Amino acid sequence: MKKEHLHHEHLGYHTPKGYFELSKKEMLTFLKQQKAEQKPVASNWIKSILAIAAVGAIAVGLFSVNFYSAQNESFEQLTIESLEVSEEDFDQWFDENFVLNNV
Amino acid sequence: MEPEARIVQHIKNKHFEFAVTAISKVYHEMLYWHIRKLVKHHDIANDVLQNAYMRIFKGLANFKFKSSVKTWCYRIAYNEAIRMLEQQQKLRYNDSNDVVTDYFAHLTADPYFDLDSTSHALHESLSKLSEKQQRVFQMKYFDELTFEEIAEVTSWNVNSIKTAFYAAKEKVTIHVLQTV
Repeated sequence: MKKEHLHHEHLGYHTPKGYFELSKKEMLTFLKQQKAEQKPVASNWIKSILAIAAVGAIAVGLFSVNFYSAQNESFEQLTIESLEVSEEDFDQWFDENFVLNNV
Repeated sequence: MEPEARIVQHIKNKHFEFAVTAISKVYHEMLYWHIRKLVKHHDIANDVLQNAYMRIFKGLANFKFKSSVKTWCYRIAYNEAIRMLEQQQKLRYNDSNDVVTDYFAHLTADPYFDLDSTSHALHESLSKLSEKQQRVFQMKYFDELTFEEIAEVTSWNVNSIKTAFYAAKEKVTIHVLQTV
């Protein structure tokens, strides 16, 4: 090859015998192996599963926050209003205002 | 159809395996020599070439057709070679101040290097050039890239490339004529 001759003649560089043909095949084989190892279909599945898991975690988180804040609101209402209710009427008042309302 | 046009067609059709095979058919040897002149060692050039192929293959899907496939591949190979040189620079302990001695010590460590009077004179003159002048001279003289192509590969200004090349050419010519 012209290039090989030029580089050897002027710069003293040379390569192992048959290097270019062999290395070309090796590089292409290496790329095919890399592509096979990547398995794009599997990685898409993993991405989908991770996305669903992330959405689920966010949903559970939001539900938990709302649930506890609602419970706290109920508790606050209970403590303030319940002061005006006598102890005898408390069970009935509690059933009417909270237990039955929630149903 | 021209080889470059065929590669472009493969990329546009998203046939990346065909594209990289076509690239290897046309540019494999050129890319090797481009890298070899930068890193000097055959084994290192072979490793860099493999990394370059990986980047070319991965990058084909994002190729924007702003440059030719040839200069794009050269740019990737150039960047990979520079990355390798920087890594070597970090690892190398160098207690010598003699640039020419270092240059030849590095070259002769490679079993795939033959030193004769012509190559000795040329390498001696190259060793006295700045890093930029060496790269520009080799890309212009051996790789036969145009100044515009060298600019695309290196991201250097075209005028500074021209200045570097003509200065390098003059120094090399004078040195080689005096020596050989």
